[in-house]
Parts: sequence; C-alpha cells; structure tokens
Amino acid sequence: MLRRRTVNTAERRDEFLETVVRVGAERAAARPIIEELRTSAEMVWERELPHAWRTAGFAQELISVADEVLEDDPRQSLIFAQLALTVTTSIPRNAYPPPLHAQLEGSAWKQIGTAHCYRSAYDAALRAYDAAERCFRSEASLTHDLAVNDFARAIALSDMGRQAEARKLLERVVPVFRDFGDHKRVVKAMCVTGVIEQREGRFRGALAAYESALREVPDDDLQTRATLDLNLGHVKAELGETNEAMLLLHQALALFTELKMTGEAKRTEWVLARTLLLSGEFERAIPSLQSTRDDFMTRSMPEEAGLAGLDLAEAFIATGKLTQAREITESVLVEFRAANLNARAITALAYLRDLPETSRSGRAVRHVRAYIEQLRHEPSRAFLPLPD
Amino acid sequence: MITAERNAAAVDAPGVIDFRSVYDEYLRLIVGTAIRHYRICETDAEALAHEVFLAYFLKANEVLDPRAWLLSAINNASKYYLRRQARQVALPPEYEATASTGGESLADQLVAREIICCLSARCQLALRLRYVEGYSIPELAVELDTSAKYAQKLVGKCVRQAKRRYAAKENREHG
Repeated sequence: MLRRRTVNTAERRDEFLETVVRVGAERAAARPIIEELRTSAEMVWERELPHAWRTAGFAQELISVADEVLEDDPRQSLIFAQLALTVTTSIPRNAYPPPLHAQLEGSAWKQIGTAHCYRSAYDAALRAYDAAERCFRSEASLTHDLAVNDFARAIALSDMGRQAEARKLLERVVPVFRDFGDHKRVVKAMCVTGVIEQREGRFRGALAAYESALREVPDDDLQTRATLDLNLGHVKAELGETNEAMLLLHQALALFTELKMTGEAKRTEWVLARTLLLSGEFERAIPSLQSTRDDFMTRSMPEEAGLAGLDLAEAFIATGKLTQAREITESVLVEFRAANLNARAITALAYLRDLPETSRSGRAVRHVRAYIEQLRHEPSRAFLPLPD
Repeated sequence: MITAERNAAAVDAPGVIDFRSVYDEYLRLIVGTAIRHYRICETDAEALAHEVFLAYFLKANEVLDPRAWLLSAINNASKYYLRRQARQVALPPEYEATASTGGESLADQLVAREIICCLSARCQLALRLRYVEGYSIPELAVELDTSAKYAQKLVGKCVRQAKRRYAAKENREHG
C-alpha cells in the first residue's frame, strides 16, 4: 500500500540511505550470534527473543543462513527460516519503512516453503508459499518477489506431479523475469520446463528444453550449468544413450563438488548409479547406492533413502544376493514406518518383504519403487501387486 | 533434476553495492516513468519510487541489471497503484464523519501483538501459525516436525503462557 506522506525527495533519499546503513550494521551484528546458533538453534526456542535480535538485519541474516544450509541440512534450514519468521513477527511495525517488513516476512515464508520441499512435505510447502504470496501482494513494489515465489511454487507443483499447474505458473513468471532482466531465472525456468517434459515422459521434448537452456546459461552461472548437465544426463540415460549420459553426469558431479553443493552432488551420484543399473553394471552400482542411501539417512530424507534402498535391493537381486536384498527391503520398511510416511508405501513395501525369492523379485522391486515415486505425486493412489 | 528455487542472492551480504550511486543515478528515471507513462502525480510517484528502491535494496546482490530491474519494478508498482486507486471509492461526506476509525480493534491488535512478542520463540511461532495463519493441529504438527498430540499440548501451554503474561502486564499497569 502506498503511504502518502509530506516528505520531500531529500528526506526520502536520506531515509533510504539510513535504512541501507542500519540494516547493514544489523546484519554484521547478527552474523556472529547466528554462527553460534548453528550448533544450538534448538535452545533458542524456549526463551523470549532478545530485543537486540528483533531487527530486519537479524531476520535477513537468518534467511541467508537458512538458504546456505538448505542443501546439507533441510531440517536446520527450516528451523532457521521459522526463526526468521518469528523475528519478523517481533519487529515493531513502524521500525522500518513498510515494504521491508512485508518483503522480509514473505522471504521467511518462502524459505520455509523451500525447506519443506526439500523434505518432500509438499502440502506444508504450498501453505508457506501462500503465506509468502500474501506478504508480497501487500506491497506495490514486490512484483519480482511475487514472481520468484510463484516460480518456487511451480517447482513444488511439478514435484507433486501437478504438471499442468506448474506449466501455467511458469508461463506467467517467465515474462516477469525477462522484464526484470533476471536472465538466470529465465534459464532456470527453461530447465524446469524440461523437467516437466521429462516427468510427462516426453524425453525428446525435455532434451530440447535442456539444450536450449544450456545455450543461454551465462558462463558464470555454474550452478545452473551443473543442474542442466545432471538433467541432460538423466534424460540421455532414459533414452539409452549411456556413454553420453555418463559423461554429462560426471561433468555435473565435478561442478557440484566444486560449488560445495553436497546434496546435489549426492543426487548426481545417485543418477550415475541408476544409469549403471540401467546398463546392467550392477556390481559397480552397489557401493555408490549404499553411500547415497547413507547420505540421505544422515540428512533426514527418509523417502529418498528408501528409494535408494530399493535401487540397492534391485542390484542385490540382480547379483544373486537375495539375503541382502531382503534385509535392505526390511530396513526401508522400518524407516518408512518410523518416519510416518504414506501408509500405502508401507503396504507396498510389506508386499515386497513377503514376496518369495524368485526370478520375479527384481521386477517386483522396480514395480514397488515406481509406485512409491508415483505416491509422491498421487498420495492416494492404490497399490496393485504385479499381475501373475 | 532441479529441486528448488534457491534464494542465492540472500547468501551474500550486501556491502559491495554503492546504493547512493544507484539511487542518484536512477531516481529521476523511475519517478519520471511513473509520471509520464502512468500519469501519477509527482508526490505519489516519488513515494512509489522510494518503495521500489527499498525493495531493490534487499535483493540488490541478485540484480545484474539495476536499470532494467528498477524500471520493471516501477512499471509494476505504478500499475498496482492505479488498480488500487480505481477500486477506492470515497465515502459520501455524511458518512465520513461517522465512519469507524477502528481504534478499539487497533488497540486490541497492539495488545495482542505485544503479548505475543513476550512469549518464548516457540510459543510465538505456534500461536502465530495456529491463530493468525489458521493452521490446523495436524498442519501445525508437520510445521513443527512433531506429533499432533504434542502440537495440541503446545498450543494449550502457549495460550496459558500468554494469559499469565497478559495478567502480569495488567497488574503492572493497574497497580
């Protein structure tokens, strides 16, 4: 909302520059405190927030840290983002010029949404994105934030299998990014278009989207380049172009490692291992799948850990290690129960556990794995055993 | 596959951007845009420009082309402003004098806000999600990564904490 005030240009300029200096100083003051919170964030929740923390700079710094730790520890990222939201709630309404307040609160919500996405809690993510949208819509000057939030929502919707809605949102945000000169996000949106094509089984369409995005990606945007290499590798593997796929995936792995994006590096290793499975190199895939699964467990990502576990079971079955296959399936079942994941997934895993060890076991594992992946998009989809 | 929209710019702290130069270089351009293209009066155009600069400030590190960003922001802000203006209908004079100022509810809101700010961080978050955002208990449980039973218990505990603190505040204020 526009506030009409009887101030002149010079006063507004002064207010802007004072805000810049003030928030900058608050961020600097917040940094060492938040650094300490990285090891003790849980304890903060039981006490009243100190007055010195109730600043825009503190909230902004918390949002930054939440983003920074997202890859390695989505749960901690969520805690920092929630703390940022709590801080913004505690800031007196008139402490800063109004758009700042809405922008910070919206950014905290958006970060909460993204952390939920990383943990596959999509409904919670969408709710957070809705709250972010309300904040961004309340001010005339936050159109770009609004588009960025919609872009995040499009990614979540695509992850949930709601491809048509995701595509519609992308169509809306891309022109906004172009207008704002946000070329990086234009390229990322092309990349998400490729993901949608891929998820709808149109691998050639996905390939075309990724390749055109790769042509436009700026030289210094190594993160998007790495993501595109990963996605292209994934599609090539699906199309049976294994050698090219391996090359692209190794490129992506090197870039993610260089960028210290350990979560994405681990996902790339997972795709590499699955490519080995697709090409029948089961023994080579086993250690990589084991390490991927362990890593997801450490990061409290039980769904991904479970899927990697089923890949591992498939590799064990293919190499005749039926006892290990049974053990890993049993472990995944226990983990899914402990994490309170979809009851239908648990039923499907129980079916797998009770299946006699036959030549059909490998097919059954693939069947259950595909089903569990589909459940992420269609949580009420019924499980049907393999036909006899 | 790409997994999330990362807030990459937020990772870098501001510091390298000379906001004074950006402000001085583009102020006239963006105020002029609001006036010329949208026929917004100078006072409001300046207020809009000011808000655009503030929005730019928090995202400056991810903006590669400040000119394009600021121009697009002022274009959008101007359209938003005009839409708002079109929706606002002035009250007839006979109603203006009797229109409620909302004073009481504002006072209540301020008290509620003050009390919420005195609670522990966990209670602040829980009560905000439950009563401001309208989260159900199961939704709250997901948000707080806990069971529905614990979330319900927490809300009860936080409401009691709020009541205690409100009573203490009343006692302080009224002897």
